[in-house]
Amino acid sequence: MLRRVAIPVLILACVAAGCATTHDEAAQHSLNALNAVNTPSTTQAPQRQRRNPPWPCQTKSVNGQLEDVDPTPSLRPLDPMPAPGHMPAGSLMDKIYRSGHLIAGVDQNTRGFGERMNGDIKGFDIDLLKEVARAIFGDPNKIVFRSVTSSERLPATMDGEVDLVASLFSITCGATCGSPTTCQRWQYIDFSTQYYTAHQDVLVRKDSPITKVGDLNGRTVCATATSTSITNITNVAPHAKIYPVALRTDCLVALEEGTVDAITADNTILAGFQAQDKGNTRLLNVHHLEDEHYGMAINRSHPEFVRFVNGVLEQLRSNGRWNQLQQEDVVNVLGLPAQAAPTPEYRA
Amino acid sequence: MARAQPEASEVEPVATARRFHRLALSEPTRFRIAGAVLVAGVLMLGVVGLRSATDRHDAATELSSAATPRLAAADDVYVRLTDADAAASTAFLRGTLEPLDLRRRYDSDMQSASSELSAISTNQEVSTQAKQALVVLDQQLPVYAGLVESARSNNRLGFPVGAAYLRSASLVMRNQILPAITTIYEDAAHQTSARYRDGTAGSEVAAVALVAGVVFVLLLATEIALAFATHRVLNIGLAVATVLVVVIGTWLLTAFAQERSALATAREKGSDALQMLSTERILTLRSFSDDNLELVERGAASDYLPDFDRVQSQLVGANGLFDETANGVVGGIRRGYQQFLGDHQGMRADEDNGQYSQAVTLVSGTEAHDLASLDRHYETAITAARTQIAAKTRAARNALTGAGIGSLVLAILAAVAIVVGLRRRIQEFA
Repeated sequence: MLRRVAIPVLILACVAAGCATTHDEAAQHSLNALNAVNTPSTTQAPQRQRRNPPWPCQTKSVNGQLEDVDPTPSLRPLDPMPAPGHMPAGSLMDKIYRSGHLIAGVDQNTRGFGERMNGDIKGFDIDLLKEVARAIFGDPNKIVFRSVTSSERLPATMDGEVDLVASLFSITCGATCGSPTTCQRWQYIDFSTQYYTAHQDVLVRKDSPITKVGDLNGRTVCATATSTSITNITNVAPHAKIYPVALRTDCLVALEEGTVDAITADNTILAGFQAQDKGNTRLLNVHHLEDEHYGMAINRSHPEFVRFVNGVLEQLRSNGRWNQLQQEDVVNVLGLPAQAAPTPEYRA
Repeated sequence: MARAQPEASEVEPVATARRFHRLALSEPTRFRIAGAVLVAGVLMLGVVGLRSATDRHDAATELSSAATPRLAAADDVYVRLTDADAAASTAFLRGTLEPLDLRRRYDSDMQSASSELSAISTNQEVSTQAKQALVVLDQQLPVYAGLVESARSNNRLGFPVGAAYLRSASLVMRNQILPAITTIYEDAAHQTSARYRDGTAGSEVAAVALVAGVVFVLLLATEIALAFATHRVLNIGLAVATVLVVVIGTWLLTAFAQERSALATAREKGSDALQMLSTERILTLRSFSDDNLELVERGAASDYLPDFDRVQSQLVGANGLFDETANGVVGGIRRGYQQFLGDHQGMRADEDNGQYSQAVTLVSGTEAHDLASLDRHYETAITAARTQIAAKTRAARNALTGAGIGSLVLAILAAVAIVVGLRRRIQEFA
């Protein structure tokens, strides 16, 4: 009798209590997934190897101060230059020609030099690259633009992700500094001859009390990560707090939002910022900061391509195309004064 | 329950009764003590029944009227905000003239998110962490909206800084807003889980079963002893009490079983499914933002494709959310996601081949379309899950209605029956 009663009671109790354990697994699983996505993964940039044997970056002593020797000398142009569509066998140009398009690393957020325009990119860097494509293919549009941040320019060139980079990239081969990938770039990659000369300046809000570089000490200054501007500004205003950003235009957002007190960058970039924030900003017009020499960056295992690009640049300088493009992209868009095409320097 | 004749198999109760008989106390005293113990037992059964039925009823009520609605609201805020971010980046990718439907979608997402948030913030049950998260949201949502506005107006003017504003907006969304809403969502999810545990606790069931069982055995023993002592087969009072105890036990345990099964369904087909589906939906929307932003940046600052892969690894493959059986039935979602993933791979291939404008067309056309239809699948499935939650938590509550008070009343009746049944026998001894 007892057993007859006890067993059903136990079974009923078991069903009511849930003899199988209740599980929180599904709900917890989904929460874990959300949390996993919310925690950003940080990957360390790999250390870059310098070229071997080392490239001589030289400095000279001027009045006891160590100054950089001109970093711009590049390899002499190909002579004769191959005609479009007839690239020398085995050269990188030939490989590019066969692949159907030139892959160029650019910036797409810099007014006048490379900016996004309804799905297209335009600007001085872009137009010069199109001339390189024209010299290879006879067609300036056989080119793929890949946007690279300032800090991606050097690795993208070294890893061969792009055939060349033209993105307000300063040619450097100066005294050692904290970041050789910034101040001794020739140690890692090759450059074409310089195609534009800019200089570093500082941009502040119009109502800012900052009037000279020295005022930047103790202030927050925005600069693009790994740019030469950071190295230079810490030399003249050592107590400035640097606010590094990945993309150049992030600095304009930071200035407009009041996150930083000033931006330091090349005058070319700052002129573009002024054009986008009309009348609300002021340049300090600093002229004693470094001149910046823009060159196209190429992987160092392709000297023939460096020579080829230098040949293209020679042609553009001599046939007036360089002047025309400067007028259209830089002078008309940014209002910067026209400059003479920089004289190319070559290594012996 | 009382038996006409002792059976061979029931030696033990007889032996017990004999031992009971041999106790030094006089017979009336023994039965008085037995009566007191029995009355105490049935009353205890009534009180335990009332307590546990009320607790579970409260848990089910709390689930149906507070916890699960809050979970659903937190979940909806999450979906709305992720969707707003996707709409903003899609609109940006389309060019200087922003498509109106995307603008409206963004606006309505932001509005419903903020009104649901204010509903959540009035809730008293919110934990301290969730309160802090609500403060973060209060501060960061206007910042986000401001950045999106700046991105939008600069984009209209054709200024490249628009893209930088969009990037900043997306960073605020991903680094500040979404972690905060995750905290609120987690809080709601944990509270829901706790209520489910309260509502399905085994200890209460065990207590009821134990008390009912013990009282039942004692009643039987007393009846047997009484039968020996008085040579009467049946004591009506005790028999009625026995029947009532069985009724109480059966009623409570049946109600608990029904309630538990309703809550189990509410949980599995309702809130678990809701959480799984919403998480998948949130993650797909985020991956779509990744694709848009990847194209807006044209590959620079390449954290968007890695983010897509990271999100995807949470969805498919070993230990991915799609592995869970909770939504194994929703085949349309799997197919929709495969299609979406195919579009994404197409975009990547286009990008690798330098077909940038083709990639933009693919993402803002086919991929956006496929995502929208996947999103409709999710909407349907989530609505179904919400219906399940509402219906099953209500069923759980209804299963327990009256069980607590009913068992107490029956227990009192049983006590009365015991007193009445024993008093006459005790008087006879006197």
